[in-house]
Amino acid sequence: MRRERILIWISVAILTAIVVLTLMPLILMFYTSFKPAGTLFQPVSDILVADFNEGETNSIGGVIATRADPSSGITLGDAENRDPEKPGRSHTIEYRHSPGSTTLWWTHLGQDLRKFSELEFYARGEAGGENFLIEFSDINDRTISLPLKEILPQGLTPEWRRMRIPVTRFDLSGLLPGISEKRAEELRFRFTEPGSGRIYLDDIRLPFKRFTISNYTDVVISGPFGRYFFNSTLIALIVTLGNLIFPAMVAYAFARKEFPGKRLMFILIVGSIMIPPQVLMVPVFILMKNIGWLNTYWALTVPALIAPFNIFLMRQYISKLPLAMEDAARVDGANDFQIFFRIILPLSKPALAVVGINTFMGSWNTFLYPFILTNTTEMRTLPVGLALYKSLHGVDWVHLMAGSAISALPVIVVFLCFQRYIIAGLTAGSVKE
Amino acid sequence: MALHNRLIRPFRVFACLFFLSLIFATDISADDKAAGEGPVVLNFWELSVQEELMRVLIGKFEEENPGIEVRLQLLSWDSGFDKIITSIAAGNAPDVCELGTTWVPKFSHSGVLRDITDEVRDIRGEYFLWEPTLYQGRVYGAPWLAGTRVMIYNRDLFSQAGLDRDDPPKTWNELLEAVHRIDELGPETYGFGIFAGEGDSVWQEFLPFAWGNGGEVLNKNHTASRLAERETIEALEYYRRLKEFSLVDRQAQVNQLFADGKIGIQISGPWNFTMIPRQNPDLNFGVALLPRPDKPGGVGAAFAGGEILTILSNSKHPAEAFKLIQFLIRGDNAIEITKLQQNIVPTHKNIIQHPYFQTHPNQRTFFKQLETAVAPPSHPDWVEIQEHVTRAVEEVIFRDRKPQEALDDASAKVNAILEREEDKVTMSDALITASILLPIFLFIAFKLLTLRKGKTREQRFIFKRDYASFLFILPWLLVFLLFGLYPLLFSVIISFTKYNLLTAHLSFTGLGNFVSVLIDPEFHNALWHTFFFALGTIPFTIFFALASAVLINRQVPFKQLYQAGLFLPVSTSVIVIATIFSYLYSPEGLITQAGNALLDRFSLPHPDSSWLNDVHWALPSIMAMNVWSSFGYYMVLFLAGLQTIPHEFYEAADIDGAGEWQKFWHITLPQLKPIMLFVMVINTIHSFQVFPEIFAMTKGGPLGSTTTVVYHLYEIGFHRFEMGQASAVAYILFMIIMIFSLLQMRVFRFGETQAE
Repeated sequence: MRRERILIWISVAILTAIVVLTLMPLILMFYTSFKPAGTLFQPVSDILVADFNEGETNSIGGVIATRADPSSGITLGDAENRDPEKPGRSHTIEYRHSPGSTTLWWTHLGQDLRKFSELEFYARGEAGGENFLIEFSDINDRTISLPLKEILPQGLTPEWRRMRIPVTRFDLSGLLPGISEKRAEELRFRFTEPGSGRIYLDDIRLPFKRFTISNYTDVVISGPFGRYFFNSTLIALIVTLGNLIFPAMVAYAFARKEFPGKRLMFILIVGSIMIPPQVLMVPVFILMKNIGWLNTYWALTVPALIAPFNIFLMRQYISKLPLAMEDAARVDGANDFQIFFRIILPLSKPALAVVGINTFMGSWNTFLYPFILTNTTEMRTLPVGLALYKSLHGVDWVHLMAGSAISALPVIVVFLCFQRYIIAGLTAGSVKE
Repeated sequence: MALHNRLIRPFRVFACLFFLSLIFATDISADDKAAGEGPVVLNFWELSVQEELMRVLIGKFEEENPGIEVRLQLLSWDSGFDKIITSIAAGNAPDVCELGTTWVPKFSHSGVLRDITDEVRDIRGEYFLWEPTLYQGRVYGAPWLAGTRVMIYNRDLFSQAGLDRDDPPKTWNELLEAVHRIDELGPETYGFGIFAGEGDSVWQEFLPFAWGNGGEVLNKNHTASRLAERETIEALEYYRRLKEFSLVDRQAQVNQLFADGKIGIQISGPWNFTMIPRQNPDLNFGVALLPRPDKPGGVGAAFAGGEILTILSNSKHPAEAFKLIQFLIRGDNAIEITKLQQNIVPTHKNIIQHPYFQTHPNQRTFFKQLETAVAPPSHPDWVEIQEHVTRAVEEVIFRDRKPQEALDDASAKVNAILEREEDKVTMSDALITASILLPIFLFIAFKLLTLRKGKTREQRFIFKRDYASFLFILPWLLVFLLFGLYPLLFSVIISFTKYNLLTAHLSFTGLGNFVSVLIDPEFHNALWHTFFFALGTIPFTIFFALASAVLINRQVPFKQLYQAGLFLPVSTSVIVIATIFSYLYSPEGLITQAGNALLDRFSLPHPDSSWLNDVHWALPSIMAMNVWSSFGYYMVLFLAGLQTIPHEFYEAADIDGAGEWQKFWHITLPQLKPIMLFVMVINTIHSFQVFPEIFAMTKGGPLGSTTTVVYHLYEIGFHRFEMGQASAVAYILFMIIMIFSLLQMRVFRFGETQAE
């Protein structure tokens, strides 16, 4: 008994080690999919937009500049560092505003605002009470703004203050209307109160949200993903159902019956798995075009209803099932169909579970045929939608991983549902020789 | 007996009817639905603009042009091309299609594009990038969006290396100096990034050095190669010196490491402008024009690529299609794409005055670089020619070959391509269909007739008994006859022909394809890699699968958890896994760092850069990933198989006092035989057919070291369009797999008879 227990513990240790190794990349995938930016390993906490140590360039390579009508005026300059002990500089803006004109300071941003939790900067006014509008503008010059007064009712103070403005205070829907990305091209401080003054700025930052679901929403909004999901599910379910019944039937005949042409047909079945699918692509397309099935569910389901692969698997499995029960049933007068449905199918549960999972998985992940055989958005499947998304948005890890997670989840759920049929306990009692 | 004949006859009649209907189906296909009233429908396929924006633009077009309806189809870069080819081969192409510049000459040459010389006469002056659309003096497309490469440099690394961050190198010597100094900053820092180990990026980065130095790939008339001339050799020699201070890797990896701040200078495209802020927002980078050779007359040339809009020659509405093209290439429409995606610029010359370029200095540099950008020669076989340029560069980079020798070789091979002649026999796929179906029909008719005649009493009796069996296999038979047989025979037939996918030129060559494949050294290479792959993965996969299945099948606590954990990698698509592993194998990846540390400990050699980009390590790396991602599936199969072993066997063995090992050896293993056979055969087939991993991770590189048979086949069929030869490769592989499987079955059958 003691020996037994030691063996079990060794098994557990080995298995745990393997499981950790197998799961690592997938955990990485899920973790990354919730990050606002960065790669699989690199953490990012915020963007330093400008620390004003670089003159007219901000820290992300954009310009720092002004715009003013002739009746107003605005000039930029360097100022003493916020912390005199440390090297570096701060920034100063001297402005004169007359009503009805434009007086603004801006810097290039080019960031998707949905990823950030807040806008952070240090500011002080020369006299105190200075006020301005904080604005973001998109590529087509649409702006969203927030008066500084809403944060600091009295305006700036003569001492440095750290402003932390939640991005949610801005109405993001005003940027790039109709498009899900909310990329702000510029950050602007617009002076609207008549008169003149001088303010000081330092260290403008955009801290990222810690975790965000915007990667997922981006992917899902980029196309009719509900429809893709429906198509994938429908196709996978039909194909799986077909493969749970038909291959077992065929396999039963091959495992238990003799009939003319059996050898040839079995060779055809196993042989057809051995032909590289790449050479069949063009003729399959021509065939589908000729029978008018392009861009239909038929083309994506019917040819896949019975996979030679599954026939081969089921044949191997059924040939191992004991004959005793079948013989007994036959003596009791059962016909082939009764034997198949009442005895063979129930006994084949573990193999059917494998077939079910494998078929669902294969159908769910298959890309090439759905891509080639369909032509409209309505007929796309999830992998096709994701591939197109990935193709257009480049290797952006966080989105890539979100897309991958979306496609992996349903298969994981299906596996968790099916897996109890594979494991011992259910059928072990009934298999007796 | 008569009763059964009566039952069987309908089946035969059905079979005949079925084949007849197939033949009819092919005939009907030719005529599409007649053009009715309603609007003109244009099918438009594109790859580079996101759907949301494209729909906005199309909406605007439809408003301006009532009576035209545009059906948009978005394609992906990875497989879009396969889809275009397949559709053209089947005569089902769209009206307007976007094509990359390098593909246009091949298409113009094949006659699948419409000649629009007259339509574009008036607007040719307003746009650039016409070179790729020209073929024999005629225009076959309109330039839509342009892309080139610029120099992107890390300003912080410049400062650290004591270089002026505001004065990036302008000449070759300055570049070499800068790269050298940055490279000396530390072992984790690279001066420059050289692309290698994949298709296009290699020549796109190298050739501009040659062009800027006065070199050319082909002569003016495209009749001879100029690769082996002094200018190009000088460029490659310079390139080899750059390599000493460079990370050599695929473009995506170089971009990645640049974004992470580990590379001083890279020559790459504008997608980096969007990628860098997403990946590493703090990176301080600058953009500059490419450096020129120090000698007088040297130019800072760049690669000119881009997107061309073409009208397919079978379009029924060429006038409307041209309207769409004219609308899309217009500066004010194309700039919307630049604004949103930032990765590509309009081809309209005056667009530089657009306010967008005033506020986006990086994009302005990019647009300026276009002035000295050079497009590759518009030769229909450019795709093959560039393979030899790439090979020459990679041989110098990876094998340290002399530039002169490598280019001499490449030059000879390019000349061979230029001198090649082409067959011009055309045959439609309807004819192939007929030639497939007729023999089958005759064969079946013959079989059915002889079956009835030669039947003795006994045989009829067998037939009666087998009637149920036929019902059982009927589902497979139907699906196979309907969807399996035609593609199968189609591919068999074209393997005996020279069949060009694009032009549908077809001529019978007998065993020619098979012979030329069998003597092709590239095929030998691919075959060797495939064997290596199979032999190196199958034992490990089966060992891990069997071991974990047996362990889980014991009374282990949380067995469901383990099973799920081990199976999860299988449930994730290969493409996703390949993406993650590409990163893990990159120089900053977990596997590379851990692996290199381990190898260092035992003072064993390890690759300098990415594992996937080392001639010796790439294939084993992919193999390791393959084992990781597939053993869970076979484990589940073994688990299912273990359930068929009766408990009594083990109980009896326990009574006899058998140990664990003996039980495994004498009960478990023999009882698993049928499943083991299945696993062996399937695993062999999968290993011999390995493709998606290669496609997603290395594209056969570096230096062809990961080209497997199926990848080789894919290249022949879909890049060189020689579908006949590709089919020959497929059937040679088929025969090899068949031999292996039969051997496996024989071995197992032998075991069976012994046991029983």
